[in-house]
Amino acid sequence: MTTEQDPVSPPSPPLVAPRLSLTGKQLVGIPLLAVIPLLTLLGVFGEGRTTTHVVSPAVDMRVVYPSRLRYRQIGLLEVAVRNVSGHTLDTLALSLDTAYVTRFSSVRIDPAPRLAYIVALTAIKPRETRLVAAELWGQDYGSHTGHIVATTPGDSVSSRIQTFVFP
Amino acid sequence: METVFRVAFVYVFVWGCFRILGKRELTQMSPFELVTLLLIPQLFSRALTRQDYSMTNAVIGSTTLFLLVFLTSAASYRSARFARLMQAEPTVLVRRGQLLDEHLNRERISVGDIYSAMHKVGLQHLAQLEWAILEGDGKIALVPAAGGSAAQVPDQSFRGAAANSTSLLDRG
Repeated sequence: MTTEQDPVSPPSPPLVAPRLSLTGKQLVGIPLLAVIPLLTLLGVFGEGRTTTHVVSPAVDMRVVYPSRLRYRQIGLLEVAVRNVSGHTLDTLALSLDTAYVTRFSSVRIDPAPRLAYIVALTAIKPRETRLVAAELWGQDYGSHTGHIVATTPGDSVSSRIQTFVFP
Repeated sequence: METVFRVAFVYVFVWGCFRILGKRELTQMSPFELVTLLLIPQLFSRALTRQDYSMTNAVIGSTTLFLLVFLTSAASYRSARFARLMQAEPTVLVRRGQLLDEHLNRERISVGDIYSAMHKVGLQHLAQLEWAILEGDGKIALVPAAGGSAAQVPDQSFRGAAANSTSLLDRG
């Protein structure tokens, strides 16, 4: 028996030059599939935070808030108010827009507000900074807009915030 | 962003594990089908999604996985070297009725497995076999020897070398 009649392995398939061919649906669908991970890598669907800064004669307010948030994820809203006047501020009312806050669930604010979403800060000495933090749990999809207003006797600053909650 | 990396990592990790385990563990499904089936439920579990149950995260994870599957298959088709890297080469277990012990030991295929596959296609003796090949997907392909024994194979209309095959999963 010759070697050809008793090969070591079965016959190999014939060599055919491979050429990738896509159908029309694949030509449309594959780039669409690729777009989502690519945009994700570019940070489009990621959680984002934005800072706003407003100043008045008495108050310097810096707000760091979640600009993009995913459903059922927690975003932290931080408001730092600083007394830039030369005298003690007896009271400062920090008001979080009800229309904005109610679009989230399980909102926790520290220090706890006495009225609905109004935090009262008292006896803020010159150049002293107070921090108010709120945990927002993404609930309703879409874009939510509101204002954060710091009010002192005779002065007021307002900052617009906008958060998009991904489904 | 992390979801994309996590899915890609798990995809490569699971593929690597199955390549290390060998063809014995791959049965009716191709490695990529198996990886896909294992991964998709995980995309919606907290382990892979870091307790991010949003639809956005699930869509990102699944599209990443589908894209990886497509890219892998396209690259395997275009490049023989990549295909060899991704999928195991077939292993001859029986040649002209002779068991190849070294190959059987390496693939952890018992003689009983060979006989079980033979019985399913109506073969009784090793001498009736031209080839028994453990294919890259884990199935045992049987090529009956030319002559009288082929008459015992139920489906003779099969083309070429892959005359009949049976899965390890089918073993009793």
